[in-house]
Amino acid sequence: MRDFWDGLPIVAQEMLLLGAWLLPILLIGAALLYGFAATRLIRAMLWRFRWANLTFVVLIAVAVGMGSALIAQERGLRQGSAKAADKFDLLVTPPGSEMTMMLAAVYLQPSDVGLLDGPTYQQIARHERVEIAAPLAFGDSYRQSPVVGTTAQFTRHLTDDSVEGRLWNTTYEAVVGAAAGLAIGDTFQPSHGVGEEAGLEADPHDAHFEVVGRMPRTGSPWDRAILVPVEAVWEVHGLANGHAPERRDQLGPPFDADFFPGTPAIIVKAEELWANYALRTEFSRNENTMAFFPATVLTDLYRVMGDVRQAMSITTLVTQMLVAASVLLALLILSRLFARQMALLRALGAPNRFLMAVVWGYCAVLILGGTLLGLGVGQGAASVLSAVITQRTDILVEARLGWQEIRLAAAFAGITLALAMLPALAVLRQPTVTHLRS
Amino acid sequence: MTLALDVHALKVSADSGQPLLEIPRLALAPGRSLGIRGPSGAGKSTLLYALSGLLDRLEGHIGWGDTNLVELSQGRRAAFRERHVGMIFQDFLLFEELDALTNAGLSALFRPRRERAGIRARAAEHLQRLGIQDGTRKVASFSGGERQRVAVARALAANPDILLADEPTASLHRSAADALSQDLVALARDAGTSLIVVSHDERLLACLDEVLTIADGRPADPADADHTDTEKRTVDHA
Repeated sequence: MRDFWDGLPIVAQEMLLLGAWLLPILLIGAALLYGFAATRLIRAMLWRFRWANLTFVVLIAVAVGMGSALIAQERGLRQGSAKAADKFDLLVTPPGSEMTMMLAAVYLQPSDVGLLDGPTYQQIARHERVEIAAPLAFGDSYRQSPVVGTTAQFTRHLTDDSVEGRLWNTTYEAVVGAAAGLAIGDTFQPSHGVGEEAGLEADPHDAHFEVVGRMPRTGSPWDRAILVPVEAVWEVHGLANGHAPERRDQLGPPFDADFFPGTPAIIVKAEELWANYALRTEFSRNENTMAFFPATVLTDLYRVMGDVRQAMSITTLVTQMLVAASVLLALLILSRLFARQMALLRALGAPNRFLMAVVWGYCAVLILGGTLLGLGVGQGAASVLSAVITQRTDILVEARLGWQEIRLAAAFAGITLALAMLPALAVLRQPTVTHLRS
Repeated sequence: MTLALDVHALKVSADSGQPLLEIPRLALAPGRSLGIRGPSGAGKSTLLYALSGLLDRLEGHIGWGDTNLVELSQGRRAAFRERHVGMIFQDFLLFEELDALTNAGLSALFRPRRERAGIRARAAEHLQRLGIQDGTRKVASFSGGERQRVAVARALAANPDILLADEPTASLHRSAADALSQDLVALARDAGTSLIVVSHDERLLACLDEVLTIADGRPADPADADHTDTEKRTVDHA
């Protein structure tokens, strides 16, 4: 059985799970409505209390919508952040917090970090299995864009070699991210500091850069970054530029260990995927360095978030249930308003099942309508939240409602519709003659 | 099929156990009409609802043909009403959102599919006969007299053996009440339906075959029972 289930395509599994939630609704509906023409009366009741009904539908839609939007958003953020770290196979940094280093190097969040020295860099760069060993240099910015010093080789890797224009040929040329707000041919003067540090009063460096290339959109904070030769960052800070004086005009590796001012992080790409593991082990042994996979740090983070996600799903479901309970309570109260019509039907000899069919069918329209509308609201809210998060973090978050949200909505509808039997049963307990004569 | 009414030793109590109505004996031949009159609170409507099987605390015997309603469960009483009883109420009790024809054919909604067309056809026929030409109009736009006609058509659409009416003319002005009274009695008579009407309306009561007066929860003295029409036979009550 387990093998059969595992052998099914995911879509089929999801459809079956969805069906499992919806089947009780279908069975209750079929058992109550079979053989009757209750639709006219259900429509009449919907119309009679149209404003109250509309309020119920909107309430349910908002509850379902907000819940599904939040869950979709969390997933979108996870996928977006993972995608943003795609190009960062292995990071080598000074020992410390992997999370801090990852935030600084991958997500360009400013933080105070230590430096790796020249010999360490040399050792990594010269390793036979290392294809790219790119030093990073942070700390400067232009307007809201961080200026990051690195190598042309890494820039090509980051953009899959699809830079518009060209890469830098001289020290004071730059390649800008798609959202950096600069165009090819523009010039700029970076200031020291990033973010709030780099206020208007900050002194700009005495260096002018010209934009010669533009990166395609990557969906990561690097879209806002300005990439320059690492030598330029070192030079504007009055440091050696990584090369011996006789090769001072050289850009990119190999660097000279004696003239290497230090780098907070080295991004390493191995020739083969498996070699990354060997390199991580090797560079972790050294007491001056720490090597880690950003993907692993993210996975650990997601594992912790996984519990949060579970808690969020349950909270969402409980919130929705509370809304449903309020709505059902309101329906119970509202059912007193059509008690006379129900009494009339009983006087005409309508069987109990017909009365229950009318009341349950009426509740079903409200609950199913609210749930479906809620999925629409959820998609809309998720899009808005995604746009806000993308704008604030530069991590491209694309939240779309998935099977999880649909299943959650189906669970909500299934449980609520089963509970909708309560107002249907309550109608049967109402005194007929009292209502006929009132 | 027509059903004779045979009631004896009927006692109706309130939920508190307090006696509401006692009818030692009451009989009505199939197809005959009976008016029930008496002061407000005397128990007229209680008798009508007891005869329909809508009340719970019953003792004695309410026989419609071979069926004793007192012995039946609520569900089987509902089934009995569905097959044999049509009811008319003082304030019509129509579904305002529905048109006249759907209201008149309301019982088609819960009757077996094969019976629905017949019920709707009879509903349309009775509406025509009662002067409601446009059955597609929403009843919300109808006058009181028109509404009660729709209610009469609804009561007759399922071809009942018994028609029970609770103050059918009380919400109508005089001319509408008179017209409805005549139509109601004529329709019941033509269909061979037993008609029992609770009413204060002496002009309606005058159209009926027999009249029973109820006072203080029991039949009043026979001598007082029928003072509106001396030629009319009062109901046999002991």
